[in-house]
Amino acid sequence: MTLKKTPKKTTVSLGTALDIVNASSLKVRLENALAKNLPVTLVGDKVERADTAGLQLIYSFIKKVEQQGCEVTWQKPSDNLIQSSEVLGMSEQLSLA
Amino acid sequence: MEIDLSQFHQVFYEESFEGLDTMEQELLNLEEDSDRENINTIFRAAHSIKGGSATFGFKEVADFTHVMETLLDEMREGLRPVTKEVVDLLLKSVDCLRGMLFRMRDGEDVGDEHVELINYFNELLANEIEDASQQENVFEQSVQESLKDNCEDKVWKIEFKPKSYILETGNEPLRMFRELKGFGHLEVDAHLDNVPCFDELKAESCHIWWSLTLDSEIDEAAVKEVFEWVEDDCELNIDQVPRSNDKNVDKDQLEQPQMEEISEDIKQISSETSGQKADQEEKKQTPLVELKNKKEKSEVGTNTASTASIRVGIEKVDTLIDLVGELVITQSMLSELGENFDMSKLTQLVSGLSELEQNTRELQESVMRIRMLPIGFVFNRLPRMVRDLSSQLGKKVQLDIKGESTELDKTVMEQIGDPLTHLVRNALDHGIESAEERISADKPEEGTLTLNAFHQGGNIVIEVSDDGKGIDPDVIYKKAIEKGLINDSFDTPPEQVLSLIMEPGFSTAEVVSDVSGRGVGMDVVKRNINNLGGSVEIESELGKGTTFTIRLPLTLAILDGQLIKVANETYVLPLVSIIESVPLNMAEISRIAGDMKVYKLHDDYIPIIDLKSEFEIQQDLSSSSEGLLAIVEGENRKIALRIDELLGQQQVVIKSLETHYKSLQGVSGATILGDGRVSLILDVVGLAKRASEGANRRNNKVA
Repeated sequence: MTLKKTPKKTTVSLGTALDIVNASSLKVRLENALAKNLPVTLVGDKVERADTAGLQLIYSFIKKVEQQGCEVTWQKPSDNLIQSSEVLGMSEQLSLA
Repeated sequence: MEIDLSQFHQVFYEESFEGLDTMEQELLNLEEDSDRENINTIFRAAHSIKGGSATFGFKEVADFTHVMETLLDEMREGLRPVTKEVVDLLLKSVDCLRGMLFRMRDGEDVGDEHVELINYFNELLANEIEDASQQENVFEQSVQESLKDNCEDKVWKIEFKPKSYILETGNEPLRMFRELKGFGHLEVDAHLDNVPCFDELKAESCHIWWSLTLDSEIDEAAVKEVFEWVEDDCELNIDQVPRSNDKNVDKDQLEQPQMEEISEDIKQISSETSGQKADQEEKKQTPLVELKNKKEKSEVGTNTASTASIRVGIEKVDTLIDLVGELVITQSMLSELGENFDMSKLTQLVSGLSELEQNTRELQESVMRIRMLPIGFVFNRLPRMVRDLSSQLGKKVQLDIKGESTELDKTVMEQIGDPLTHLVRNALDHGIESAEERISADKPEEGTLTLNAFHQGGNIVIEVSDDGKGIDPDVIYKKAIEKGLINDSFDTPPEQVLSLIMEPGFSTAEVVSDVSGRGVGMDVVKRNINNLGGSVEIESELGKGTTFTIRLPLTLAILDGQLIKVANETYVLPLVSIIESVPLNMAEISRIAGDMKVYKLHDDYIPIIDLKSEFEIQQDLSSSSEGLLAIVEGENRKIALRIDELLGQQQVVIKSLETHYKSLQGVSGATILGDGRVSLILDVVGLAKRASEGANRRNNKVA
C-alpha cells in the first residue's frame, strides 16, 4: 500500500472573536505555528467579530510567514471577517478581497 | 436593535451632578494646595460628563465641557499655572453646567449662560498662541469661504492617525468607520507601513493609520463628532476637497490643493487650541444644533416624569436580602405550625410570633436605612459658599467639617440644605468678625466655622458654631420688647431670649444691623426645621461665639410613638417629646388669670392642655382622680396634656394629613394602628402654640 503524501502545512483556527481581547492568546498560537516553518492556513469560518487589533495581528503574521518564504492561505473566512477587513481598508493586504 | 437612551438619562444626570460636586470640591482644594492628582480628578470628572453628554446628544454640555477639558489638560501638563482667575472661571463653569443640567433634566431650554463662558475659555486658551495664529486664522477664514462656495461637489478627506494606545482605551476605529459609512460612501485606505514585525508587535497597540474619503453632504461637525471620543488620542485632519480633484485638474484649479494643504495645517493648529474656530463652527452649524435641540427637548419632556432615585451600597441590599430570607423561614415555620396546631404548641407559636415581630422590625429598619445618605452631601456644598462669601466679605474663615459620614433620611437631607446654608451664611456675615476686629479682640486673625453632625438617640444633631462675637442677650431683649414680642414684666430666661431672634416679628434687616446680626430669615430657618419635626437651639457667649444646634428626626416616615387614650380616642405622641407622666391626683394644679390651668413642675409652671376640649371630643374623660398628665416638650416649651391613659409604645408609619385632608395646628400627621383604626399624631409645638394663643384670647377677654 502506498500512502499519498499530502503537502505539509499547519492550520490555525481563529475562533469566534478575532479581537483585542483574544489577540495576545492568538499571538502565542500564531508564534507556535510560525515555529513550524510551514505554510499556514488560517481558518476563519467561525469568526463572528474582528477588530483592528485582531486584523493587525494577522497582517503582521502574514508578512512574517511570507518573509520565511512560506504562504498563508485562508480557509472559509466568514462574512463578518471579510466585512471588518473591508471597513478597515485592509482586505487587500490581508488577501481577503 | 435601537436602544432607547432616554432610560439612562436619570443616571447620567445623577452621575454628572456627583461629578460636578467632586469638581467643585477639588477646585477648592486646588486653591489651597495645587496638586497634580487634584487636577486629574477634576479632569476625569469633566471628561465623564463630556463623554456622557456626547453619548446622549447633549451637544451644548459636551461642547462646554470640551473647552473646560482643554484648559484642564493644559493645567495637567503644567503648561498653565493654577491661578485664582482660572479656578474662579472653572468654579463658575461648574455652576453653569449644574444649571444647564438642571434645566435639561426639567425639560427646559438649556439657556445661553454657557456661551459667554465658552468665549472666555477660548479667549484664555487662544491667548498664548494668538499672535502666531492670528494671521493664519484670517487666512483660514478666507480659504474656508472660498471652499464653501462650491461645497456641493466635494468629498470629505479624513486623515486619522491614532496614538498607539487607542485600542486599549476601548476606542475601535472599526466602529468609527462604520458610523462614517452611515453618512455616505466611504473609501478606506489603511497605511500599514508602521506595523512592526510580528515578533515585536504588541497585540493591543495600534500601528495603523488611515486615509478616508467620505462622499456625503454632512457638515464638518458631524464628521468630527464621530471622532469626538478620540480627539485627544489621535491626529485628525478633516478637510473637504473637490470630488474631481484627484487627477484631471485644470490649470485654474492647480492652487486649490495647496490651499487645502495650508488650510489643513492651520486647522491642526487651531483644533489643538480650540481657538476662535469653535465660534465659527458654531455659527456654521446653527441649523443642525436647532434640530438637535428640538429632539432633545422631546426626549427630555418624556423623561420629566421619571422619579428620583438614590444609590444604595451593596451591603445594605445584602442585609435586606438576608432579612427577607429570615422572614421567609419564620413565615414557613409559622404556617407549618398553623396546619397542625394544638394547644401544646402554644409556646412555639408565641416564640414564632415574637421572631416574626423581630424580623419585621429589623426589615423595617434596614429598609429605612436604604434611604439614609451621609450628611456630607449637604456639607459638601458649603466650602464653596464659605470661600466665596468670606472673600466677598473680606474675612478670613476656616471651615471645619466633622461627622460628614453621619447618615440621615434623604427627604430630611433635601430639606435641611437651605436652612443650613442660611445658618452658615449668617455666621459668616454677622458672627465672625473682620480680621482687624478679631486681632483687636485678641483672637486669631482667622475665624473658625465648625459644622458637626452626629447621632443622638433617634435624632441627628447638626451643630453650626462659630468663634465670632456672639449674640448680646440684652440687645435682643430690648429689641424684643420694642417689637412687642415680649412683655417687660416677664422675666424671660436667657436661653429663651436668644431664641427670640427666630420669631417672625424679629427678622427685619433694621434689627439685624443693630444687634449682632443674627436674624435674617431666621424665622424661616426655624419654620423649615420645625416642619421637619426638628428643633433649633441657640447658645451664645458674648465675644466667644455662637452655636446653633439643630435636632432632626432620622426619618420622616416612621416615628417612635407613645399611644395615649383620651376618652374613647387614641392619639400618638412622639416618644422623644415625652418627659414624664404624673397621675392627676398627685399633680399640683393651679389656676392663673384667664382660667388657665397650670401644673407646677419643679420651679416651673406648665400650661395644661385639655385634649378633650382641643379636639372637641364628645365623650367624657375618666374622673379626675384616674387621669394622667403627660408632660411633653417641644422647642424648649413644655406643656402638660390631660389624658386618660398611656397605652403601648410602637413605631408608627406617618401619613401626611395635609395630602389627604388639610394641615392642622397641633397635629403632625396620622397613622393606621394595628387594629386598622386611624389615629392622629400630635404635634407638641403646635399644641403649645394653640395653648398660648388660647390663653391670649382668654386674657384679652378678661381684660
